[in-house]
Amino acid sequence: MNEGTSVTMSDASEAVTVCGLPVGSGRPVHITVRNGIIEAVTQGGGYGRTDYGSRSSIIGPTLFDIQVNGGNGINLQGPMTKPEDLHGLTRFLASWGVSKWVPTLTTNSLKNMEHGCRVMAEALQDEEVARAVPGIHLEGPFLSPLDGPRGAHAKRYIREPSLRDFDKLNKASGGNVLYTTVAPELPRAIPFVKGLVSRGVVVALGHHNASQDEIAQAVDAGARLSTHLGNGLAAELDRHRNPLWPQLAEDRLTAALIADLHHLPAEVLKTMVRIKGPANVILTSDAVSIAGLKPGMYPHHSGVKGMMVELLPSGRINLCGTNLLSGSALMLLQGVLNATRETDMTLEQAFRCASEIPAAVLGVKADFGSLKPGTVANLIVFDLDQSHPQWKPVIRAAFVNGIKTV
Amino acid sequence: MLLTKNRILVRGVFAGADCPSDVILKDGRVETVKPAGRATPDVGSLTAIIAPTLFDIQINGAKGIDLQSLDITPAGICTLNDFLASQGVSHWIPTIITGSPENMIHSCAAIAEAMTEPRIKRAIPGIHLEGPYISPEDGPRGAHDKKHVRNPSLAEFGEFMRVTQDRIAYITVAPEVEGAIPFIREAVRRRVRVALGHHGASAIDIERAVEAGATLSTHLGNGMAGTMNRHNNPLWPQLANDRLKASLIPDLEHLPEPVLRAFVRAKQPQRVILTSDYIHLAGLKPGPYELGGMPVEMLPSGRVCLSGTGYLAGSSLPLLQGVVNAMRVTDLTLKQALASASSIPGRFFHLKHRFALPFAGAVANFIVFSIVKAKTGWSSKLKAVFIGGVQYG
Repeated sequence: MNEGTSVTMSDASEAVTVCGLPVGSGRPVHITVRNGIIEAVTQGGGYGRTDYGSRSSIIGPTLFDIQVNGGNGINLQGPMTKPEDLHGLTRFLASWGVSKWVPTLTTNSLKNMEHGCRVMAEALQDEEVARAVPGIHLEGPFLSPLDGPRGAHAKRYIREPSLRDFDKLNKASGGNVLYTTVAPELPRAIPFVKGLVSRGVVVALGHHNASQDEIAQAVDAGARLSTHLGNGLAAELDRHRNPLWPQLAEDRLTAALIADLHHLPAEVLKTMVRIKGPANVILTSDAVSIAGLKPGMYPHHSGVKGMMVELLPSGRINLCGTNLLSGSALMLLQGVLNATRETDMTLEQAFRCASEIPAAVLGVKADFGSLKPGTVANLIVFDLDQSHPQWKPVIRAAFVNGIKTV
Repeated sequence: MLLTKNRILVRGVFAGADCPSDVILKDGRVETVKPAGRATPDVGSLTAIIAPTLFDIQINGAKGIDLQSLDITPAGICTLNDFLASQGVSHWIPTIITGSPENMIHSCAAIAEAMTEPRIKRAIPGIHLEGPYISPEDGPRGAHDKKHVRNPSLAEFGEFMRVTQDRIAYITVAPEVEGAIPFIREAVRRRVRVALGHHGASAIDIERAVEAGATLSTHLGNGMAGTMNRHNNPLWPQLANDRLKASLIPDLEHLPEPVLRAFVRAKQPQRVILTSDYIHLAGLKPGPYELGGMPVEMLPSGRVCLSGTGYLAGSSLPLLQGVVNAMRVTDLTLKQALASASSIPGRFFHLKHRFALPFAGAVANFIVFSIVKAKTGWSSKLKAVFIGGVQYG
């Protein structure tokens, strides 16, 4: 699948017919797409010409990934980021059926983050990028400075919440900050949350070590999301008093979960999904720059000189020579399948956690594929290899925002 | 205790129903159930709640009667039974914790002897051995005496079975200790249910124990290390395993509110069993006491602490109040919370008693109570208890 290569898009002027079982329905269909628009949907899978898929293929909606740090060798972090990077990533993700995604800027110097924001603003001038990217995610610098909750974020760039700093970044992004991850226990975090909410920015809690009270105050102030719940917190926890239970028990918080089974063991994923309920879960990749590349050794995506990571065939990224998890290489479609296999969720529910639910929480209007004639084609036709322990999907065809990307 | 010779009119809303009913009792049986009328009730009111009696699967003692004590007698067990009955608990499982072989055998024999009396036999479906085959580690071991913790022994277990005439309902074991898995298999073969508790087991140990036949987690979230790895700890595999029911102590001291709420969601209502885990100080006045040789203090809140510390030393919250707590804090409806303290454990232990609401012709087996809602919490006020046609309390 386009590993490490440039992604090209085919001309969609001719009619293409795909066949498969739409997720959540019991009958296969033929779907004809012409010029990026669904021309016809016919029930039954046995007749007519089929270009891609079969009666046993699955037709899923396109996906919305709310946390992407990079992929296919493209790194959005650091001072070297260019507007073309967003274009390249948009196309790469589209080749995996992702029609919407949120670029994530992680903690860096204010100067570098401002640069990143400016690059985003410029990239969003491109129509194709603008269609796919509804805004950006600031994952930092307003995070816990403590080892553990801070995760891989650089301590020296961590800052206390400041609306002035935020406004600087938001201005550089052209007002495109869609959501921000904050540690609610930091000084002035609560007025900061309120300020963000009043600016129309969604607030997520993450990389924190907050108490039950601090979490409750942040939620009362308007926080609505937990960023990669179960990650970005201390490795050792008090069994009862820790940031997990209050976030799991709070129904006003939707939980974003990394379903690569490396960031959360299967039993944790299953339990968290059950506690939050399928309507309150967002699946995300949190992919780093080497996601989508071949297994092997790579320089660390943080850019720290001499630091290397290893991408294993299982998709796990380890700090070289250790078993320390060092980022995610997950493609969101695989995450949807993992969640279907390991939790109570049906395939339809898991797809919703990676499309409609994040769109609703972040206030993004989008059509992920209603499969109705006359609408823009958004669909992924794939075969599921259930004999593979990880249910590896084989994508037969994908239309993303009307463009055939596979 | 009085026999219900004359007609008694009981009024209240059946748990889960919308409208109040009148229940007319005669000679200890339900004569009629009908919509609430105008006559003045003997018991209850238009807002009182009528619910099945309760089943508490973990009782170490109460009212100063300690099941672990060498002084325990069948008469003491009868007194304990009547105290629990007065709190709406018609069925209960006496729990014997880790102790010396002689001490545990003594308690087993006293309970087995008490069970020869029909009234006690009806109330007690069997004994719970909470130990001695648990983790010796500080933390998971909890307040159990380290010097008596030992590895599973089928010979000793056979002795417990012999002196009780096979009346062991369940045994709590640590699945990671040497010999635990074959022990679980043998206990299950002898129709003793196996609970996992006071352990520090890995996901693999827990999976093996469940494969071997374990079906319950004992007071999940308690009896484990105070600090844990966020992902690899005994909680997630037990929460995620649908073959394990979980007993939970809903006193809001043993599990903070968000934990109780999250656990109930994870296990789902049909796998939740609420228990008081009463220690023998339950039902006594606040003040200084002794527990297993250690000085403890019961605070006015009911919290029992090791003297001079904030460490929890046991539980003294009546099960009905726990039911009301669970209803307030978790997703459970009143009916579901009551089921978690009656019919769910009842089915789990294959009790004949159904914990049904009153119906015409049935023996009177129900409780009448009200819930007082205050800012600081909701409290239950028990109005009447009928068990086996007899009114208690």
